[in-house]
Amino acid sequence: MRIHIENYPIKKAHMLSEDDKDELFDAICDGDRETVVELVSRARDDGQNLGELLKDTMIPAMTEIGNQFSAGEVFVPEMLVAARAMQGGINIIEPILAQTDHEPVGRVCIGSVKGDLHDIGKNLVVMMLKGAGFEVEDLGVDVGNAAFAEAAERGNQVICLSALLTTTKPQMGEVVKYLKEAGTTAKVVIGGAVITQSYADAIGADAFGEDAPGAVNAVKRALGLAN
Amino acid sequence: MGLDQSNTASTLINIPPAELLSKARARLQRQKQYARVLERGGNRASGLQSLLSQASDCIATLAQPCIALRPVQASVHHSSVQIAGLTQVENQMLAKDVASGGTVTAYLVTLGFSQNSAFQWLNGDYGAHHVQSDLSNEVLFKLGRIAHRKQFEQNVGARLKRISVQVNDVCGQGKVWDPKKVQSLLSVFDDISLDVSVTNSGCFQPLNSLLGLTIALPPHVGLSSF
Repeated sequence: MRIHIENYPIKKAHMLSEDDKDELFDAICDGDRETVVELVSRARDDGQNLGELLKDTMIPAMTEIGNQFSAGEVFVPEMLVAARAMQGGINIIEPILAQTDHEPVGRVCIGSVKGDLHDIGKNLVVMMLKGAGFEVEDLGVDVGNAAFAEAAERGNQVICLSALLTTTKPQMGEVVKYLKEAGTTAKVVIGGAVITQSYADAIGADAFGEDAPGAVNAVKRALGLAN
Repeated sequence: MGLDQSNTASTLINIPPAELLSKARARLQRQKQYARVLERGGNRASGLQSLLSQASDCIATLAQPCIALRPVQASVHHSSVQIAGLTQVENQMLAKDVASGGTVTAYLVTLGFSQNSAFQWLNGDYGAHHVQSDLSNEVLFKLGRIAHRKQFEQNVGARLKRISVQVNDVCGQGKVWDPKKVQSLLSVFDDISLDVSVTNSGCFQPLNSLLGLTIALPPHVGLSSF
């Protein structure tokens, strides 16, 4: 059967206006995944520069949510729904950017140290790092020293270590020591309920994140992308 | 009437997840951070409800909640108590209560699934997994309450005190048990296959598990606290 394409109405996509971009920004902050998907799909269909849209509109929206969280204005559930809305857009953008020479903000691996099976804090950091435009390799929980070193060899520029317990906190020092002995040049960022800046200094970590948005800032500081 | 201390077998009670989930979800939704979003309505509330439903479905599918109870012999040596001939617990109040005729039951409650399996079930959705962790905590709390109630039913007239075994602590070292002692206490449940263990660093596997001791005191014995 021959299909007469002229018989099918073609919906002409419209470039996202500045107002549309504001709407996209607000939709991410508000956790409105449906609107995010609709607007990003429209931008894709119209051949807009998705890398720019990600960098100029979407990432700043997640930064805004992170700032609100750090200021105590929103709680974790708001971050979760915002991150989910953001992910709806990233799912559309990622396959397209993968075909271009687009570079992520940075490459990061993250894991809970050996003996620590908790992932709740680590997972929040993963969500916020992805929302900030980083490529994240999640190594999981109970991660041994060698696995962190191998992740650095795969091109990860930053190694994020998470520990929730007083009993697993010393393991962070062991990882830092191991990485130095292995000659790893990747930066090390640490965080978790029992971690402090003074502990990060004591074990020679490059930066410390006090919460999930703080971890994103710490990663940026470690890479020289923020003060 | 207390539990028969000569009975050396563990009692295993399975609880259907559905019995726990509705109350656990209601409790979670009353927590400030959840309640605030849900009360305000809009996209955030519907997004959060969606995450809660995913988390609930995940737990309903994977969880095999159960309670194990095991009366154990307790003998006092100065200020410490030997539990089931396996573990020495330094606790003056426990020693006093045992010396006063208190009987000891070890309890173990677990949801019976790993966080890794939940993450896989949720197809790597970090948001849903986070909510699942929060909801699992509440389910475990509810299961612990049922375990306590069961012990009340088995110790009519007695006063019960709980000593939860804390193998790790995010805020300090207080009341932390040596993981080796915890492992040996876990071994009292070896006659049933619950597959709960503790790592050298003090994490239960599965993570959503609780272990502890309940002391049943005769009604005439004075109150003491831990």
